Amino acid sequence: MYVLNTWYVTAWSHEVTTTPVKRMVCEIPLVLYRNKAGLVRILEDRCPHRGYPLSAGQTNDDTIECGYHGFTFDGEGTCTRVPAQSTIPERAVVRSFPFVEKDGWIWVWTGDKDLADESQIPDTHYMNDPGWAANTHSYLFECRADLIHDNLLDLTHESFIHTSTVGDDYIYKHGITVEVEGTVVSADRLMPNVAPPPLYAKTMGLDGLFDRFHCTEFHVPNYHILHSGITGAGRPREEGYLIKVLNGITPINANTSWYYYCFARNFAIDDVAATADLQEGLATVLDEDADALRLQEIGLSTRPNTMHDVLIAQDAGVAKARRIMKQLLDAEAQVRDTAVPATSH
Amino acid sequence: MWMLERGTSFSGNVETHQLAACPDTYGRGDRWKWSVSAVVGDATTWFPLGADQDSFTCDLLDIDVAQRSALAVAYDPAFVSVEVRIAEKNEQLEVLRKGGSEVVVIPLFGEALVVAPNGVWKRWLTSGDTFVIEGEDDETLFVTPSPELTRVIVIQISPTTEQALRWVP
Repeated sequence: MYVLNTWYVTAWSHEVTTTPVKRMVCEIPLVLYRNKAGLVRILEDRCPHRGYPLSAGQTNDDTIECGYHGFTFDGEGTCTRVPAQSTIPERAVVRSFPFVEKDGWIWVWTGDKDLADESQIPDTHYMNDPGWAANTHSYLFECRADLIHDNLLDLTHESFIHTSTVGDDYIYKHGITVEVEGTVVSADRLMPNVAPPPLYAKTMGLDGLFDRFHCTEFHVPNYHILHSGITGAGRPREEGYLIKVLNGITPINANTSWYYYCFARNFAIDDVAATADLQEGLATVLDEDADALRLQEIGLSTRPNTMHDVLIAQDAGVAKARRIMKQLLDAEAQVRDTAVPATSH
Repeated sequence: MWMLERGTSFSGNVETHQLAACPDTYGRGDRWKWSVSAVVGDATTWFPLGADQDSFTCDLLDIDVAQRSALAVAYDPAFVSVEVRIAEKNEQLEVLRKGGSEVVVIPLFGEALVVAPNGVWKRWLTSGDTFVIEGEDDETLFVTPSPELTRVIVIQISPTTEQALRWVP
């Protein structure tokens, strides 16, 4: 079960060219390509003729040709050519998907086209703002997307999983505050008078004690922005060294997910060596998360249905987000259940 | 730790729904200890079935509506005791939350400011919002209703058997 009436990050802009790219989002096979004008096209990656993946074919300006029998479709999914006959069959149509290309990410709308609302795309300007330096990664996580959401909302795991990078013993000793408004859940932790995390201390060029903070803002069901950083003791956060971590979490299927990641900082933005160090260090962080969540997925897949997570107060954000996710899923299921089935012969 | 869940004002059409509870999610194996709900009609119909419980209710609205609505607090006295205080406009409440107890703050109508004594945080709450505070250390909070027409309910929940009551989300 996936929330479909939403935008999912499906590729980096630089990944999509005139050569078709295949993706799977919420078990929907997609093919992405650009036409000669540079406009992105996203179609279902399945030729209606015999189910062959269109991504194995080739593009010609705005059209994509199936590599099996040459059925050709325009960017809207309309069939424009059937090589073996001049008549286009009525059902030779491929589903096309609304998309938004913004700040280096390509978002796809997987649900009802009529509900696609670009204003729901979150603010991701940090990826594309000269005032910020960005490191990016994409990861295939061998776990359900829910585990990544839980991971990001409960950052006490940093004390145990990320000991060499962003973790410190003090993290879990500080409580969180949680705010829920609409479908956004924010879990905030302030850690006064502590040392900066090892990964950042070098880049920041700092030694001593500071106020550290991180606030995960989860836009259920698919996107987190982590507002993090350090500042002087008792000083406002906005005065400090700020980090914005953008996380686009896209389900592939029930136990695999894409993780699109951008770490943006407002300090040492021209420091090439720092960017290189962070690229390696952040890859370590993501490797550690990917390993941990793969193991958790295995553990959960064999857990009896009668066993439940033992949630504690620190999991308040996790629990609230899960509940909102369920409400979204239930609402879409209700609409599907009440929809009048189309007549077919 | 505290959690603030923004809600829909009680001044509109009230629908029966849970505002806060421990555990906050049912059906996961955690034993029920307390819940706070907005209830239209008979408040007792919303209480968990089969649990030993005491309860407290107060009118949710002070205006004439077709059907009575209430704020209902239900709890299992085997585990917790409950003290309810109501603050009206211009009446500041000092709330001492002992470590291992919980406090729930809900404006029934109007607005209220909740402030930590050291000023680390403060939040304005409006009708329909729910604020849950818990933790292992003592803390003092100040709840100040706005000067306008306001009524705020403050529910203090303490353990009767265990040393500490931690909120289960």
